[in-house]
Amino acid sequence: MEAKSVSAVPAKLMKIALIVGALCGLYLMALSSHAERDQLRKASVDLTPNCKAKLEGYGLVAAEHYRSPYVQAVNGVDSTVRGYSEQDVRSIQRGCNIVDDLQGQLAKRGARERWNADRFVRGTYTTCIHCHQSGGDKHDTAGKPVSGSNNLGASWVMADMYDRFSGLIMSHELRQMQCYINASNGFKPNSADDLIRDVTAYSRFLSAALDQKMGQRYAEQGLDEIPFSATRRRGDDYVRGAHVYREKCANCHGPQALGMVVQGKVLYPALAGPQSFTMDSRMYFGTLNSLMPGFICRNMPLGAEGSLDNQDCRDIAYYLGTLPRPAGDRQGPLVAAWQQVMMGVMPPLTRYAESLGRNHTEHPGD
Amino acid sequence: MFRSQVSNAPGWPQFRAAYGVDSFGGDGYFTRAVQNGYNLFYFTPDYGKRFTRKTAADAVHSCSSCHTAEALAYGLVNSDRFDAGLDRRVSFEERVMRCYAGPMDGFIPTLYDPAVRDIRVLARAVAHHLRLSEGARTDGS
Ligand code: HEC
Ligand code: HEC
Ligand code: HEC
Repeated sequence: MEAKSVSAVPAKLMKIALIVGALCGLYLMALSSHAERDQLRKASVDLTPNCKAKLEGYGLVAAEHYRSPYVQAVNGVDSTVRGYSEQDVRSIQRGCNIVDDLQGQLAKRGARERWNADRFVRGTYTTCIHCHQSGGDKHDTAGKPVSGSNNLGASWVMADMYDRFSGLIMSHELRQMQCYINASNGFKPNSADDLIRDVTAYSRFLSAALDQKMGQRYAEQGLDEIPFSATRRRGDDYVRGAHVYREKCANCHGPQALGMVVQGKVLYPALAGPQSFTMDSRMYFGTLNSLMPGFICRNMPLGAEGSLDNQDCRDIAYYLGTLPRPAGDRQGPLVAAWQQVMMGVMPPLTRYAESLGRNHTEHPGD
Repeated sequence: MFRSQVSNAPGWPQFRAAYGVDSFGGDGYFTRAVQNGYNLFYFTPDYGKRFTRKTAADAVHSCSSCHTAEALAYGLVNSDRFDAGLDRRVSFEERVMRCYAGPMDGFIPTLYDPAVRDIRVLARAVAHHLRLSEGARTDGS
């Protein structure tokens, strides 16, 4: 009896010591990662070439006042607003880098310079500018923001509005999270994470640079939609879409829309397959059949934008919607598993089927 | 918690007209959130009970005891800036939380609570009425 209780006490102590030790270890780890974050916040920012051009063009420097050279040049108005401190400037710069190069492919220290954003996306190459072109601030040749170009400044001034897809009032931060989850097939960063806050700082700066007013709807916000009613109502046809795709898009995005990556750099993003947006994304034809056609008609094929008619764009979007891609949260595990299998099986099958087709002589009028 | 109905507190019809809230739609989600923000801002002890120890009997009992709606709007477009005192960037939401905990002698709502969100929505509506852009300063220059 006596001996038993003597040996039980040290065992218990050992257990407690182990738990306390583990907690201390976790605490130290948290401290060191906080210290690392702090260091990153204070470090000067290496801008990507795109961001350097954009932010210099907008005259971003730490000063008491900020006056947008763009607004002066284009609108002929002198808009002087509150300037930015060194810390705020760095936050905006990091935000631009995140939008331009989400996973740090252009950064010396890789994803660490982007708050390890690669933790929140599954695809290895997704980045925001694939869909929010020119760093979320695309201009036409006259220097005006392009209508329906997913402009992030215009998005900031219209944040907090009711979102008809989620049925929520969505802050700018939540809209970003949606793009991590759906557009990038990933996970939700915390609302107060530097990753989100730096992009918000960047969006807010864009709205200052473009002199966009709070609560005002601008044509450059979101993507233009092409509903069925904007066609001659012949009906959408994915077979025809596949044909147009092969002609106009496949040379860049690949025959099965899996994108093109050369030496670790994405030249052309994937529009289907594991590197692409999910079935919950608004880009997916099955979720919202008017948005992707709008994106295509306005922005693609790169270099010949605006050359497709509305029906072409709907057909292509429909076709892209039939290709296997990751399921979203709303589809559940069965669909997710099925999509996973299809993403593995379909590309080689399609390649095989097409290689058979090539042996036939083409019929005139095919 | 989502409520499709927001109580009509005194002064709301006048506020609604004065700040052009209806330009966001007569009965939209956004408009209702503005109204809830209005209630919170002017009648904090009634609508933000959980986050303040103040009662209507106190001399200083609501956000409006110290702030005007206009100041709140300017606060929004000047938020997310570096605060030298705190040595970090501070969001609008955090400012609101701090005022619940400090001057309102209460508790901190979470970031997603309507008690925070609808104050931001209110600020946004007023900022829209004043046609403010990012970083607008009170002296108008
Ligand atoms: C696959 C394409 C795609 C990618 C990649 C993508 N987005 Fe989006 N984003 C969209 C679409 C589509 C919308 C919704 C547009 C609409 O509603 O008209 C959107 C909307 C948004 C909005 C809200 C816009 C508004 O007007 O309210 C924000 C903010 C945003 N994205 C941020 C990001 C960020 C940050 C990233 C990178 C992490 C990103 N997006 C990556 C497609 C994409
Ligand atoms: C000259 C090469 C080129 C051609 C041709 C081209 N694209 Fe693209 N596409 C790109 C690039 C590059 C991007 C990334 C955005 C950017 O840099 O502007 C892109 C982006 C996209 C995106 C958004 C990216 C995403 O993740 O969803 C879609 C959708 C798209 N293209 C569809 C098409 C379609 C449909 C066609 C044919 C009508 C087409 N593209 C033709 C180069 C091309
Ligand atoms: C007793 C007076 C008092 C009350 C009551 C009060 N505040 Fe404040 N508030 C202040 C002071 C003082 C500051 C400036 C504090 C600072 O700079 O740290 C401030 C700052 C703010 C700011 C930041 C504005 C800016 O210009 O930076 C916001 C937003 C705000 N308060 C919202 C609220 C809300 C919402 C309530 C009601 C829940 C509230 N306040 C109640 C005194 C008050």
